[in-house]
Amino acid sequence: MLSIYKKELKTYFYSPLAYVLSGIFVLVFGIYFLSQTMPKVGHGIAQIVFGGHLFFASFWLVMLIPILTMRVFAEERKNGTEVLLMTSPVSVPQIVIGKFLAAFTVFLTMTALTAIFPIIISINGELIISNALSSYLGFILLGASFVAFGLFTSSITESQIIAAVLGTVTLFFILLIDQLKSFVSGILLEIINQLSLYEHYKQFVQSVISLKDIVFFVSLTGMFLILVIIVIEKRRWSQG
Amino acid sequence: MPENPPLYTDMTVDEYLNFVSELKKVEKSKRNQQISDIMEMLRITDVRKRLIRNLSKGYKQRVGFAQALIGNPEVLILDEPTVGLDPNQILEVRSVIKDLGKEHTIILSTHIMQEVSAVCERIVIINKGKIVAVDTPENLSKAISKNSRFIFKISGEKSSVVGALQAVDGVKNVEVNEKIEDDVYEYIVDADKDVDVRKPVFFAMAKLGYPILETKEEELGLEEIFRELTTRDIAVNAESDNSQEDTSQEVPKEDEEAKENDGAEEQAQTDDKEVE
Repeated sequence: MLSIYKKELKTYFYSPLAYVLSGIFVLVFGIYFLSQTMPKVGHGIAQIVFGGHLFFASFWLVMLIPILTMRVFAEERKNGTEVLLMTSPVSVPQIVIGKFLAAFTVFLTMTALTAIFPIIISINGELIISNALSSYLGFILLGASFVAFGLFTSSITESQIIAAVLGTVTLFFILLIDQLKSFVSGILLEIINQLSLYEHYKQFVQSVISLKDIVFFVSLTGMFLILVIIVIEKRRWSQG
Repeated sequence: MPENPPLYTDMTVDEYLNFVSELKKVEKSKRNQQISDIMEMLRITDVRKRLIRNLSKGYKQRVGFAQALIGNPEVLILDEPTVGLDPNQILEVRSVIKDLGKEHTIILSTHIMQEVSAVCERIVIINKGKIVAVDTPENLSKAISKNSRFIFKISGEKSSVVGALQAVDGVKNVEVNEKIEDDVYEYIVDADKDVDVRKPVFFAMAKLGYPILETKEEELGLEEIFRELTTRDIAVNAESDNSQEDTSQEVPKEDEEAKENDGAEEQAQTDDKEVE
């Protein structure tokens, strides 16, 4: 597992992908940060709730994470290197978890880079640290489930493009579920609220850390990883 | 090792082989030694620092070969290991395969008959998913041919030589092939299967006082054997050998081959146990 993890991480950082994605992410984050905070400077508002920025940034994850994860299994399958992994003594769950951890590490690096913004706030104003931390926790959990989902779309296709588009589009639709709320009521509304990623994520942004939300994201991540394992195991037995 | 070896093209040869040995759980202390031994054997030491993507097909093939050797497997399955290599590389790879055959069991799948005759000690021919022959090349050749065929170069008058040859017991057909010199002709003699006519021919010619300049027994080449076996419904040893251990290893392989080509396939095997 460790060997897979190390190899994957190397692949990310030897190619421009990790740098480009981190760069775009921090750039967009910075522009948004600037546009939100600049007007408030000098207007006596020293306190800025940082969680809101992270909430906005999470929309970008919908695009960036599938690009990060698109190659993980699709490329492996296209080049035939999947055979090498499958015939090695490493088990499929180990392969999947190793690859997940590597992609997750890249995501954490991206996220860590955004830490300059709360630092800027704390220098020039007052940062509500508890809110920033809880927002980051939610952001990381959300990111983990996105990464797991990205791995899943990558595992079901041979083409990286399809994996990325499928990932982005599906995550986008999951986002849109929230928009349905204005049309429904009662039990249906409750179901959507419970299933909505952003309902759960919002709790963290509002400085509410509850076990329920943590379990939601962790189990979501686990579920997609298990799906990846099933997809790969299935292929292993069905392809002669 | 498949025809197109599974390579991570964005790694250097060193990194790749290290990764594979980690993957195959080779002990850390032995890792470097094993990798450099294998690289030495396959002559890829000089490209160890280069990206696999930038290597030629021949080098890639050998890196893939190196990958298969890591961990010292007992059985190596090679699918067309010399495809896309230049003649020098082909010879090199074949000699490596021969060397490896001393310690490993190698199952080699190929369409190239010269390769089979160069490296293999036991041949399995598969036609449309069915094993049609299992034997050594020599036995196969004998089993297939309906006649034994001899070639003589005899110095003497043509018509009397032909007459004398035809009078020999067991000879079915005599053909004059070509004129070599004045009064020297090459004769192709087909005799009944398993009948060696060389001795009687010698005495017959001695009686006439015609010297035999050259005698040759003709064996069927592998290519002919292959054509014979795959175009007709003959089977050599296929039934009796089916239950044997070594063929059972090939069963999954054979399925795959049949799917890919849906036609005639040749598989050959070098087995160290057979050598001794």
